[in-house]
Amino acid sequence: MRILSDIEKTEAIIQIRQLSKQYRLGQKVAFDTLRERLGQIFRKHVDDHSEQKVVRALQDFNLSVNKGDVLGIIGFNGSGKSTLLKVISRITPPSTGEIHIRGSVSSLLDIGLGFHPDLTGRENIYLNGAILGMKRNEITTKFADIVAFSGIDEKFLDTPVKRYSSGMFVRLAFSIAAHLDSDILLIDEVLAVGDYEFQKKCLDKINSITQSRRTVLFVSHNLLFIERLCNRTILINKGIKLFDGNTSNAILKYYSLQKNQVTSRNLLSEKISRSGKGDIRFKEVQILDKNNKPVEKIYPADSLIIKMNFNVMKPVHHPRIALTFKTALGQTLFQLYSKESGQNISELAENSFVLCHLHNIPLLPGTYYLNLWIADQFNVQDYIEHGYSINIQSNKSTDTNAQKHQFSRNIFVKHTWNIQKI
Amino acid sequence: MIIIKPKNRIAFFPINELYHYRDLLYFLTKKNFIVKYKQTLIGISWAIIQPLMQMVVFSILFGRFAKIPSDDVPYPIFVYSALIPWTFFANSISACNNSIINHAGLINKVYFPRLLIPLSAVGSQVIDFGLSFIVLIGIMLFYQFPITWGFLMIVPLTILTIFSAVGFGTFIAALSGIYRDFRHIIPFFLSIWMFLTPVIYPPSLLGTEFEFIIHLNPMSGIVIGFRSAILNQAFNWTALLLALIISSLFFIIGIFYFNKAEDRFADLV
Repeated sequence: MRILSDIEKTEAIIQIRQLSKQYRLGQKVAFDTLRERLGQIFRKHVDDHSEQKVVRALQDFNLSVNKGDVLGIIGFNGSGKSTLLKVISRITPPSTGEIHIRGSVSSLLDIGLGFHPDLTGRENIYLNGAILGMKRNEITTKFADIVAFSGIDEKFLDTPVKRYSSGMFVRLAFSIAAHLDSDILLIDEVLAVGDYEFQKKCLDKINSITQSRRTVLFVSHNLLFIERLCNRTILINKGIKLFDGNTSNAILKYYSLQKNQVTSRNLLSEKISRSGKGDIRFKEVQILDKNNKPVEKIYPADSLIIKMNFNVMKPVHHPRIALTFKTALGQTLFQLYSKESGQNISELAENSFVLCHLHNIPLLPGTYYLNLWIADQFNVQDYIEHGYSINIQSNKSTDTNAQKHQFSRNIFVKHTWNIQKI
Repeated sequence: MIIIKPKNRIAFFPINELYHYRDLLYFLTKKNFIVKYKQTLIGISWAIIQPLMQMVVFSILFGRFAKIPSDDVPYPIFVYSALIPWTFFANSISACNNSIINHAGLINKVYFPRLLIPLSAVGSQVIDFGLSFIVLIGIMLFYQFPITWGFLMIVPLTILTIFSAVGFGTFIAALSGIYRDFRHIIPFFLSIWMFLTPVIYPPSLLGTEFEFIIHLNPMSGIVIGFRSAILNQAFNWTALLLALIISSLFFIIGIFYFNKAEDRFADLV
């Protein structure tokens, strides 16, 4: 009883205490059939051992969300993000623990729920709206807005949605969801819908929702969206909350979790996940300054040499090498591609290495990732995503803006300013 | 304030919540009904033709050839008066049987009282049920049967039939939601059930020693009651009371089992 009164005192709109969710292994996948059930009764004693095969989707999870929070939830596939949303939205019950929610909840784990292809656009708006928890007169009031937002021609409203193009279908589905008024919205990966124009519209809509002091919990793999929308982000790994706080830090923490993450030691172990034919493999990547000495710190516009060593099983003729620079959010910035540089590497054999001279590295302070790629004339030989990470330091130690802007600006173009009199 | 706990089923019959979601019940029922007859040539007329054809076939097979007695009433009207509640009941159970699996996409993605699924499955059959009375009036006019005060008993009898269908339907919906075997068991179970119910024959055919057994089946009392109301015969009140008691029992078991099972649907379907 003491716990309960504690909860009552807090201001949090969502309060999660010691939440765990377990699945018995196989239960989620295999169909439960009567035969299995009957079999279970007869083999009761034998089956006792299998009870231990449980998957813990969430473990001792604590979280409190305040009104107006736009909370990002990130983590790898199977980390428990979606399970968390499903438990909060009451789709599946928790195994232990409690959640207290003050206010109405709408879960948007998918769009167009309950859409039936044989029903008309109008009928589906009402059905889907009701499924999302809207009242009939509420839908009637918002009907014109929903249609207008979707951009669907009025004359299509009385046509079965199976005659719609997939774009129209998705636009209509999103429009209904966008018109929910509940206090708390649980959103799972529904943003990347429609064409570019509509996506922009969706983002603007979500942006305006987040401005209106409503609480949003937002699961996405698209870190750009998370970065843009969320004031706070939690990182979940194997059902455990690893990080809770500032979105930029959560994203950096997420990247440091990745298996292929390379530390300042730049030897690439054989175990990392890589693809390609494998006659030749990246062995080591190193960054040198222009005097061929290993660098300690890299500043914007520095001139660098990227040195690559290889394990060569078979000598490769006319190899092509590409180094792709990406932001921590996964956005590709630019690529250094040997073929496009106009130079030709004739042969790569054992005991030789490749140097790539990069004049004025065009990056602002922050962490960046490199995809490493090498191919011969016909096949990709080796490809490693996030095979190397590079840290660009801030020129002045007092530049506090650098970290803050890391996700909105990346490219630095070396340039000069001067003032002249007329 | 919403409190989510491992066993969050305090309310036995979540009447407040169902009332809150009444609009969803309406739209789900409407969808089930529209989808059933969409893109058929004669549409809703199927609701009338199905029991009508059944009546014709049964009248020829059992009335004319098998010469099953019909209490001195023309066999077509005798069998049709029983087919009205039976068809509704059987169609409701079949609809419930597949309902959880058919709505798996919803169960996995959004919360609403899961009871709405079997309820709307039964609800969409109510419209067919109402339409089957059109044919009944036609047959009554044809055989010049008067519509008497007893006919008003149709109203409480209809409520009792819906009550039984909901009770038994929720039970079947939960069972087939968890054990898929029931999807295959139920259709054949229903066809046996029809012959255990005095639809094509009068209960008197079985003799007094079997009468009690036949009334353990709540559909017996209901079917006999419908027949009495339509054909203006004396009501068998004992049979009706028994039907009410057994239906109530099934209603309690059905809802109870459904509430217990519904937590597992999202993990299973």
